[in-house]
Amino acid sequence: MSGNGQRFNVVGKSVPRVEGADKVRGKSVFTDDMKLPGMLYAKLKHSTVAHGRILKIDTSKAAQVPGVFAVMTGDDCAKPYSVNNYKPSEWPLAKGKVVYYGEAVAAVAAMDEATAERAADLIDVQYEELPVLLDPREALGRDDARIHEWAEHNVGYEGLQQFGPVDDTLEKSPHVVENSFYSSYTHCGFLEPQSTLADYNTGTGLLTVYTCNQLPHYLQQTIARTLDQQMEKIRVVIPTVGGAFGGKTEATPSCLVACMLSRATGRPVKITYTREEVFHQNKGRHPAHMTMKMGFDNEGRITALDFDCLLDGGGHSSWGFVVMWFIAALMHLPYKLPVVRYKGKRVYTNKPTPGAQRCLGGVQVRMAFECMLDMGAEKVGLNPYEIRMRNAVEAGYKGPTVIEVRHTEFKKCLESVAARSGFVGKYGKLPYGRGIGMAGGHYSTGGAFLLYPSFRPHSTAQIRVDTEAGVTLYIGATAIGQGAMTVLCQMVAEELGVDYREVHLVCQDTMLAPMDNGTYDSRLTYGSGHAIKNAAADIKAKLFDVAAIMVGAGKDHLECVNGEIRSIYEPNRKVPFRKAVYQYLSSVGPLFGTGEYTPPQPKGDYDGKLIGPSPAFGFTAQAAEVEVDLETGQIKVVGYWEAGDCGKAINPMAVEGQVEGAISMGLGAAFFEEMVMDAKGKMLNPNFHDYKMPTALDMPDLQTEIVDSYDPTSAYGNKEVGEGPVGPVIPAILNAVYDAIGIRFTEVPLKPEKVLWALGTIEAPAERRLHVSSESTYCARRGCAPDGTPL
Amino acid sequence: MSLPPFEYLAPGSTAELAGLLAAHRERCRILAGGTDLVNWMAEKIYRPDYVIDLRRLQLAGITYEKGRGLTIGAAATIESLERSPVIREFYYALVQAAGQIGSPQIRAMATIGGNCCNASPCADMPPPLITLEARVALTSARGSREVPLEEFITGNRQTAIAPDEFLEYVRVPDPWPHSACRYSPFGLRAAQEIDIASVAVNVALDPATGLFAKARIAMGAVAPFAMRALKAEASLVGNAPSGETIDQAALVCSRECRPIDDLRASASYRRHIVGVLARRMLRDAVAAITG
Amino acid sequence: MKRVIELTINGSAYDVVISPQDLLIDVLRQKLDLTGTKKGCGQGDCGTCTVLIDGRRALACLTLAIACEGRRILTIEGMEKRGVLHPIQQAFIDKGAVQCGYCTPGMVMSAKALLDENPAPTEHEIKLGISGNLCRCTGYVKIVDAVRDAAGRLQAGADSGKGA
Repeated sequence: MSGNGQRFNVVGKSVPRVEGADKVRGKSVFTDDMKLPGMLYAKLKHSTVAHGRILKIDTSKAAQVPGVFAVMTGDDCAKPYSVNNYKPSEWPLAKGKVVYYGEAVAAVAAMDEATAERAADLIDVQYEELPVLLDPREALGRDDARIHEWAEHNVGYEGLQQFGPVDDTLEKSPHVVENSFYSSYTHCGFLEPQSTLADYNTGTGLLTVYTCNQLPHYLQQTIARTLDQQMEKIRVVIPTVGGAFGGKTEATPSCLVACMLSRATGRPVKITYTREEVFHQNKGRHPAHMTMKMGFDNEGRITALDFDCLLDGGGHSSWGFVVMWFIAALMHLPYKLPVVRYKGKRVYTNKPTPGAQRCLGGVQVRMAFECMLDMGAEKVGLNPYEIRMRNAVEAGYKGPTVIEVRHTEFKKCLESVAARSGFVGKYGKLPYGRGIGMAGGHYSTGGAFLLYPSFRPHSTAQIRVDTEAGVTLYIGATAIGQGAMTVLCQMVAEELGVDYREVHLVCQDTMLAPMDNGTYDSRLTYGSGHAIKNAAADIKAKLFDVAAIMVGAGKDHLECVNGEIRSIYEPNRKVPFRKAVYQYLSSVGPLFGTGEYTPPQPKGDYDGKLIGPSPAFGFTAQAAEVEVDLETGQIKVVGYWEAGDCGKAINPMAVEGQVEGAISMGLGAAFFEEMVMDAKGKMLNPNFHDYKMPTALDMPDLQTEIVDSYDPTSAYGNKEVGEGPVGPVIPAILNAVYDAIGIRFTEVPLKPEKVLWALGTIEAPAERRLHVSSESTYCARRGCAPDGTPL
Repeated sequence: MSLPPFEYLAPGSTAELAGLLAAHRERCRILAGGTDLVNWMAEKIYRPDYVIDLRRLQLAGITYEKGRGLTIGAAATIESLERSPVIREFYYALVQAAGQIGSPQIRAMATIGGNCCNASPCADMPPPLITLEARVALTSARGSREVPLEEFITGNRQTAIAPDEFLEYVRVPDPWPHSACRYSPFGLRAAQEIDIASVAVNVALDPATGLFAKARIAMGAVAPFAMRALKAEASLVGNAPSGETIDQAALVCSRECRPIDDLRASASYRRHIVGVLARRMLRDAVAAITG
Repeated sequence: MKRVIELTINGSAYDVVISPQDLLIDVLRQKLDLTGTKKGCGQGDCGTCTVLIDGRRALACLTLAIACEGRRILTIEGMEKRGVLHPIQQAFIDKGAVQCGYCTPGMVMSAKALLDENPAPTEHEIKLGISGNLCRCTGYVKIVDAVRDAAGRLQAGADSGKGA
């Protein structure tokens, strides 16, 4: 029971995963586990310069290696591609020039991996090296060294959003704080390297592509467009995916290359990235150089925000357009923001391209915004909890944009976290070196608009009921490890009263399942939930006509529960579900139901309006307590609390797992993670020993909570939870460190040596510009000197 | 990444091993745990014609005999070191070092012989072994010679091993009377780390005066190979184990080491950490002796 | 020079043609179709290729197949007995320790090694036991819960004389 008094039978229960047994047995099939008869293995040749014109590629020796079936270069590629096909610049194999170290320039398909590798080694490539630009601030000033011809000053995208008189309002605000921040160059870190098995059938002309991708229908379109392959002759099938986190939303060049090689050889071709190649392919988070100026009134309410954001876009476009506008949208929640100006810029650099990493745009915004709130709180004389409660949005909130919050329990999240962590009693009162910090966050539950201009439904579900297979759900949704399959089965089971483990799922297959917008922006459960509910309603409308007669009750008074169809008012009047189905099939015909969902599409007239609005938002609040080792600079997280509003949790155990994982990703970014390049643009740590993700021993004790909530606009009360919880982690840590030692760090990862540089214990290297704020009222509040000695 | 092709040999006796090394010399690499060798071959850093596996030889024993000290077969796994009761009792720093290497999987595969012969500047076993005056036995068809470990490791991944020799065992003499040894690595994460600095100490106190009678300090990851902090050692001997003496020695350690800036940490930070670790380990060791 | 060797995997003998430089991970996955063991990095950093060799933990990506002759290899496929899941596997399912599933086989093998040596580990010992296995999905929380739960089940099974 929850929220609006709804009673559920299987929705809301922590049932084990439907695919759990296969996964623990090692039976789940991931793409690289697959083998087809006659399969060839392909390997790629990569650029060894970060920016260069390809002068010559000599593949003659490679082609002569026994066991080699095909060799390809950029000359074999007809078209470049990009997300949304906007200014496409990425080729399956680079053509003309390379724009980052590790970009694929040639490919070999052979009998086995070792032969393909050996042959790829024999390919000789000559480059004319061009200037390597590694910093977007530098790249802006190098119009003489354009990474892409059409991009003046290397600007890929630029955007301005303005609501209200920002300068005026800030000038009139009694309290104004200003700061700049840098969020780092992180990687999604999924454990399964990208892999594609492309199988072109020369007889039928059908190209079947098995690959770990989050957006199968979008991939189908990309293949059709880029490889001039008819859409109807492409089938994309997504096997089990070993983590994605947004990094598997686009076609990898290797995927397209596998398709090309399969077409050329008439044999199935598999390409699996090495871990180094995974890093070079990147598509992780956009590093952001951010400046914020925020005004507050005397009660601590935000009056206005001026926000400049420079995104490091790497070599290609990827999701850059979306990230730039998403950052603009994400500022507007979870606190009321009446006046704002946003200037965004995404600039190309010669680095592996960032894309869409879990909580895209949210991590950058939250890092800056939540620190600014704490700074404002200090000036106004409130504590960080008070200022957040004062500014938190409530249900019905509509700010200056088209974003509308139809439902929220954000304040409940803040209250819960403050209470459980003892925040108010600890803030400013712990011994020097120990501190507590807090941050809030949110995320959209699917965008109101599609990835590309179109008016088709975002989610479609078809249900087939018969006595042979039982209940089968056809839905294009793609599982990437988040637990999608289980909740889809739970929702169907809830509607039709069957056991969730007996629902057959046909998903993530473009030939068998209807079109779905894909797994991104946390849209899957909400969108699919509506579609399933509608499809089930369609089934029940048909089935109940027959069941009503069998049960002897009005068809509007029937429900499906526990394998039976029964009268709501007289539960003893019932008939087994199967029997009713049999009757229907015999006397009426096949039983199918279709349902769809498209979120409401608000109208607005400002740039970037299509990105940001969502039918529902998930919310989260988090608090971190830290202990700083003043000798080594190490920061130990001694307590971590979270409270989330995800509406009704369809599967609470799965929700907890998602939140815990999200926090671990945030902690990794806060303390350890960054990809580092040398001066010539070569990545120094394309591996898991020097790109450091948290191990089990690095995780603090996490106390999470799902607050009681139910979103009435959602099919089952549910909202997003997979992404929002990543956002508050970095600022909760930065705010806690400020409380501990009075230093406001504004960059991550917060490595121990940076703490010592800031404390003055050791000197920072000369060329190292550390983002640290000096101005603060820390000492006044604590009654101590900057090094903690009491006054 | 495929490995380059090689012939695989698994000799059944140390004599046979010595014979193979004499015949093929620089064209072979010895396979113990393989955790370094396999990676290096995959990266094409080494392309041996022969890979000689130690698995059939009985080279993994750990024995302690008072008067003779500790003898550790070259193929003893890091895990077996960490779990050895006798090492825990008499040579605790070696347990501390072994317990930090890589991951549980790496510790189950990697060997003390590999850790010493591969001589990575960040290797965890050499610093404490050096403070314990360890010697390595280098055996060939020509015979066997014992060399102090700190003379054995000569540079970044360089040792004094001859092409026809293999490291047969590591010998650590009896602990000094009234002594304790300690080791601390330091990295960013709590597991699977490559140290940015490490310090090993081995100190003895004179039971009559309570002063430092002997001291050896070795530092890892802050020079091309594990290095002794000779000046810091000298500053301890003959002095009282007071806070000031220890602090001073730690400062000398941080001045003596030769760290570099790299991806993992800056030189100034490594230098500072050496001082912190030296102080902490000296204090721990003294506390262990005085009880 | 290719050879035929016999590998004993999960109690069964397999004859397989290999070159000396073939890695166990590739032989398992490509020649023997035992794809449960995963290849996440090929460099020994992620633990997804964890197997047990003669009861000891090993990374298949750093192990030569030829060096495994005469040794007993246990992979994830060998954890179940006639289709009945090992208590560790069941605990992983019941405690929500499985998300994408890619780290799961390696985690289960590490958990087996841990519980074989230490049937009643503390929370710290569990985290240490799986510290060589990366997971990007779970934050390790429910994996630790599952290992603790499995320890309990195995103890109970042992106490009642059933064993596992």
